[in-house]
Amino acid sequence: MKFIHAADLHLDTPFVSISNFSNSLQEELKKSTYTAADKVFETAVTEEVDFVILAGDTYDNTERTLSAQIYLQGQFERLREHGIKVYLVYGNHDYYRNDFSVIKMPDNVTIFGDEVTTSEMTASDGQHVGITGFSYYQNHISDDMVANYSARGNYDYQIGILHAGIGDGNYAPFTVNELLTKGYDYWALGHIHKREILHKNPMIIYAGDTQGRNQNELGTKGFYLVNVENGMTNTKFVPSSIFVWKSTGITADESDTIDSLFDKITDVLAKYDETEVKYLITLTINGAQHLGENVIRSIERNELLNHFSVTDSHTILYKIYTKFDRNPQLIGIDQKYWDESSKDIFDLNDVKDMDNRLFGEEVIRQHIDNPKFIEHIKELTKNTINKKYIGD
Amino acid sequence: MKLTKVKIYGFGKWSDVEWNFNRDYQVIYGNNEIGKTTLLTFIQSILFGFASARGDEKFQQYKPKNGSNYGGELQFVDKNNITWIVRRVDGKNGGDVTIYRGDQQVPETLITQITGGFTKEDFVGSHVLNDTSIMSIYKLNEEQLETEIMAVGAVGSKEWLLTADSLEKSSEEIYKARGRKQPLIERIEEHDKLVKHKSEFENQQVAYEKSSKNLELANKQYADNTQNLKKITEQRDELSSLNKKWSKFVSYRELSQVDVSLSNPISRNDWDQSLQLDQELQTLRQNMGQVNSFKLDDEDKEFRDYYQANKDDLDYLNAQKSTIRDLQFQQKNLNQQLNDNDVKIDSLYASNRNCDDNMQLLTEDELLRLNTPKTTSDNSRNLNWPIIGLSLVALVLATFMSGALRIGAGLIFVAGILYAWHENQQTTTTTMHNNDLEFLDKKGYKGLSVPDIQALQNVIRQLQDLNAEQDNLEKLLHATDAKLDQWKSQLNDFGLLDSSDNLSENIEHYFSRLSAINTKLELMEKNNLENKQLQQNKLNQISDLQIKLNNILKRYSMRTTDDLMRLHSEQLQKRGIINKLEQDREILGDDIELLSRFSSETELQNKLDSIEREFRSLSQQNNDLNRQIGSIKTKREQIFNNTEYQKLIDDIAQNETDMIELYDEWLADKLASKWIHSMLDLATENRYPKMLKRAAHYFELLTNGNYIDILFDSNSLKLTRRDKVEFDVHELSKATTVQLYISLRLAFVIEISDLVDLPILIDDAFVDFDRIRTNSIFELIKEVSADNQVIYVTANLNTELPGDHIINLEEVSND
Repeated sequence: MKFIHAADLHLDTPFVSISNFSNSLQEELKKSTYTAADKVFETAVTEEVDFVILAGDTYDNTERTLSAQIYLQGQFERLREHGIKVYLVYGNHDYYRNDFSVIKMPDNVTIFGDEVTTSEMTASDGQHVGITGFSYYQNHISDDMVANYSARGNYDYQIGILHAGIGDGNYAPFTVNELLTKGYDYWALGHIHKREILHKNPMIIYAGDTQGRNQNELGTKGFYLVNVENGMTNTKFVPSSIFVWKSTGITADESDTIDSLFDKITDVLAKYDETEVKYLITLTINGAQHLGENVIRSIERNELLNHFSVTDSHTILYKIYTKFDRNPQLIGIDQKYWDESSKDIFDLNDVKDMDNRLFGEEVIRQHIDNPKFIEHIKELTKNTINKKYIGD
Repeated sequence: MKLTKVKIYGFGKWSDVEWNFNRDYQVIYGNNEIGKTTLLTFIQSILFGFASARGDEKFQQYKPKNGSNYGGELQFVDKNNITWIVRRVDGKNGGDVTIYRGDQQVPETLITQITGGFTKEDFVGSHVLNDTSIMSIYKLNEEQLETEIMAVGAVGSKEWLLTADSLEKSSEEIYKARGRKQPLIERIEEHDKLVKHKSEFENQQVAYEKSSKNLELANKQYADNTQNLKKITEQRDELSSLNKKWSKFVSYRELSQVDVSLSNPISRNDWDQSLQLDQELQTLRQNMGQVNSFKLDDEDKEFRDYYQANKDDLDYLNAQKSTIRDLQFQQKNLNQQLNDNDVKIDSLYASNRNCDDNMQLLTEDELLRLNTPKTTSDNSRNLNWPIIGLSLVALVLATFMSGALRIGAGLIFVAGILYAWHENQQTTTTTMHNNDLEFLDKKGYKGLSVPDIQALQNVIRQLQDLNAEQDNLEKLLHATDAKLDQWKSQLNDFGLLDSSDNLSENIEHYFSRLSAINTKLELMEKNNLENKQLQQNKLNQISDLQIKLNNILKRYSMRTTDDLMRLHSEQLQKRGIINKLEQDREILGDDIELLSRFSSETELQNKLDSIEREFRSLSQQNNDLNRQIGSIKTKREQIFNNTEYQKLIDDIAQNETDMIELYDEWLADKLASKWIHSMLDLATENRYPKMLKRAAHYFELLTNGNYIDILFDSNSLKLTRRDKVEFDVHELSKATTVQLYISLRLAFVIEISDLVDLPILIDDAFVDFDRIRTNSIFELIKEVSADNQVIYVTANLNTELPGDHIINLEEVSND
């Protein structure tokens, strides 16, 4: 028996800060979630799998998905022609709302409802398979949904589909142990975009998304091709991302000029030239404090970045960050005062209280709610201080 | 450090004066214009340098007017009781400074040991309280105060504070509460707009569903409408067809009113028979009429009747026929003889041209006399040329022509030749003359020759004979003629004469005719007899037929055939009507029932018109629906078009990214600034909060407990009264404001006194305190002076002050 475990296709994801790119590149990027999805379904057909699991967030949003629905309908129909079934749950991004999903999917597609249910099927090798799951019907689920998953049924193989954040109270929180108690053979997880095998034997896997959608979703993305033979579950990661986000850096020294930086960056980018995929590079210039003021200003005016955006290089320079390191001699004040005071400064609640208007913005609030926010902002603040101090 | 001695070489109005100062506080008393302010300026000038001669500062220079040395000395004592002397005399850049620590001159940079690194501005800002600096109370804000106190607190803190300040400003370039044009605000507003725009986007799924529903509805409507249209079309066609049939229907309806009942319909057989019978009868009757008995025609009848009437006479005549024939023969013979004799005579004449009727037979003597006959032959023979010509022509014709003409011409030729010849002969004869003898003349021979005459004698004789015979013959002929005339008259009486002169023939003719007529008559009579037989047969036939016919007629109560004919034609007409009705019914069919529902053509027409209108309306609706369906389909297609929406989504994503980036930048600036402050706070051991606390205490003290707290609220001072009511600094009275100012200043200086131990210089020229307030302030000065030296110049002395702490400038100047 073979199946595909894919998640977080996020069709129609918008890509930001790409307006400097050529139109064709922009288009390629915008279509990349589809290109990755193509790969999923293409693999299903060529590998002659029994079924495909889509573990949530197939659509980036549920507001305007007709073209995505039509696309999926076409793909599912193709799978149907090859006798491949589809098991799909809605996630927090594409949680089911009234009027959503108006396009009728072919009958090989099973879409789970908001209650946990188990769907049965017999694979080509005769294995009787139970597939258990549920769909999001609201943005957030704080209930312990796993509790509603039935204990292992009388199946040769049982799979749990779960779109959830491990320990994340907003998204159907669960623990690995909780999953293990169910006695299933495979847990097809979705929601977390960074793929991860949480447990082996039985398998508990985050497939990750199929295409990195922003600079934070680093590395090759894809899905799992799962082969169950003689009671053994073998997983194989299949890449599907045609764009791979990568974060890298160079180190600046006092002698660096814009030209020398350009050469350094060119060398770095050259390392990522690959035929299969295109790399989108987020580049950090470390030791920026060594750079002359004019060089820094030039970087801040995006002169370097623009220089690369007009260059027709295979590897794409997405963004340049400057990292200013602290020079203790220049600071002049004992580090202990900084450290001691930082506790009060980087207080989440204080940050939230800083400006009601800003905190009133949903976008900002969500940003602040990101678990890594404080860490991120502290780094940024340090960089700001370092930069500012040397600048004066 | 405590200022223990002031020594002026020359400064303003002061020259060569010196005063010892108490280490805690020193009150300097004097009336206005005595030089109190000059003294305070002197202290500042020695510490921080003389004012330059430029600008407004020149009034602060206080160059001595009496030409004494410009400058002087200040003597300080530090914590370790070591004496420091700062001497400043006229020189470049604020004067020449000399510093002594104990007895040792030290580098002038060590001035910081005394000033704590303060600049003149710092010092004036913090330690000098006068009518100028009092005004700053209204501008005093947390930042400034903090900066000032921090600046005193940590090394480089001022730079840090400037950095923080710059960060703060930088943050405000990104975002400012209540700001308007900052980029983050713009992004937020843009975000609102984009989200609003997005919300204006019809929900695609809803729109699709709606569109699908609309389409379904429209399709259904279309189907229904089409159904209706079909129905109406059928109705219309039916009505239209009915309408076309209306005239037929009307005629049908009228016809159907006609009584077409046939009480006793003539059977086809009867009819055919009657017709046949009638025809036969007619034929028979006609034949009867035609076969009227043969009769002799009138002429024949008359002829016969005449015969019958005169039968005896006519038969007699017939019996005498041979007699008459004989007579006729005799007559003919006589005539023949006469003719022959005539011919002979003529021939004699012809052969003797000289012969003449008048000539008489000569006697013998006379004949003798004629012995010498003299003959003159006038042989003039003239041929008759025209006759010959004609004969020749006839010959030619006879030669060349054919048939009758040829024969005719031949005869003419022969005749012509003969005639010519004969004429010639006569001429010859007649030309003989005997002109000699008289008798001759008498006897008619004049002119003739004797021979001729002699010759003629025979001829004459012959002639005489002939004539005599002629006469007999004529007599006979006359008798015969008379007899014949008699017969002729009889024949004539009976009308037997005909064209022929031959009487016997006439009789024969007559009887031959009679015989023919009789034969004819006989035939006729025979015929008539036969006919009569036939007629009788026919009559019998007619009678039979008539009976048959009458039987038929009787059957239909008709008297005559004509009646039957009439009846038949009536019936035929009715049958025609019936046929027509049947035909019409066949043509009209079920329409009759439908048509009869309409009272009039108008009603039908109206109905048709109305249906027609309905048809048009439905057709129109159909077209409209069709268009509508098309438009819905197009619209539904358009719903799929995500371009604009996707762009909006991209824009929103970009906008949110920008927003977050700006927010992070803003926050980093803000936090950096905050961090610097916080760090400095720590580094400065929380001088600022401590200072505020102290200031509150001083203020309470100065106001006799009326105000219990000082706090900063968004860059302006707020004072809490004993009753917890808060006041803004602007709401305070002048005196209270001064009290607040003094509290803050003193607190500040006390707070940093461990770092900057310089005397506080208070010039109460601005103070218009009442006694109670004055007492309060001296009480505070006493308290403060435990930590920091205070030099207080005033024009109002408090009697409770100990005298050893007062320098009376009046006394000095009086010296």
